[in-house]
Amino acid sequence: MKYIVALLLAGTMLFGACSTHRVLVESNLPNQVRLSSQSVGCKLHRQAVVAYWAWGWGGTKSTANLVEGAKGPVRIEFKNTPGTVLLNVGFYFLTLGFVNFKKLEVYECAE
Amino acid sequence: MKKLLFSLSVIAMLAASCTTVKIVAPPGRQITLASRGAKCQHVKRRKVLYWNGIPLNWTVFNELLAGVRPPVKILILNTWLDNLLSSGSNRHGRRHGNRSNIEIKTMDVFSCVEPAGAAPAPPMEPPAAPATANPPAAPPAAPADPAAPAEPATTPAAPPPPPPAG
Repeated sequence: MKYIVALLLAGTMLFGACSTHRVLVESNLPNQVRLSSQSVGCKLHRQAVVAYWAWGWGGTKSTANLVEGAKGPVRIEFKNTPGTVLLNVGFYFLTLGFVNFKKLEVYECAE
Repeated sequence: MKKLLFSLSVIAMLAASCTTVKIVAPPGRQITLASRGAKCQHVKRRKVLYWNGIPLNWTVFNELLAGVRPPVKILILNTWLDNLLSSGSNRHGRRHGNRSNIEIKTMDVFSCVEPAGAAPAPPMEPPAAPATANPPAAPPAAPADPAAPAEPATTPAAPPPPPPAG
């Protein structure tokens, strides 16, 4: 049993080392969304919890839908939050790190 | 001992929760994002090193889009090497009783050309000065309409000097 657990952990670490969490920052329509230079403040426009399966093996998340409808320039943040960390910890024991969560937030800034 | 471990876990969890990749334009400027159908070319690659959620080379965020011709696309990812290095350093830290959390993120910047028929582009930025460029794994998007004649990409990728971090 001890060896099985060790093997599972080693395997998880191995696959974890290969995991990628990809985000593509883009918009849906040409010349519609601009990036702001403000790194603090701004109003939250839209947010989403993104889930990565299979250690991020497949799929690239896009910000196209999230930035849609933003009136001013935007700032984009890809991060962990306490909520996503708790989700990761919870799902880690269930899935051995197979599922990961991150948060993608779009902030709308003044002109 | 259990209490100590619990406290350390909570601290590590909070620290990990601070890791944030911010995508902003260079100070005082605004940069247009490319659309899904745009034809893109890799311009530069930058890495950010986080120590307990604190970016060690935070100036990368200001420099990331400097000199890149808009519209742009940005690909955020952690590469196989990033994960290997960060998990290696975290394991090394645990062995010595140091619960530091190191995370490495890679950001690829692409300069794009919108397909013909798209709305007019905003005024051009100063010519790009590509400092580093690594060959991209794959272009982020293909033109939406393959029949539409896509303009040739204007900024050729520079020869790749070694990446700054990682």
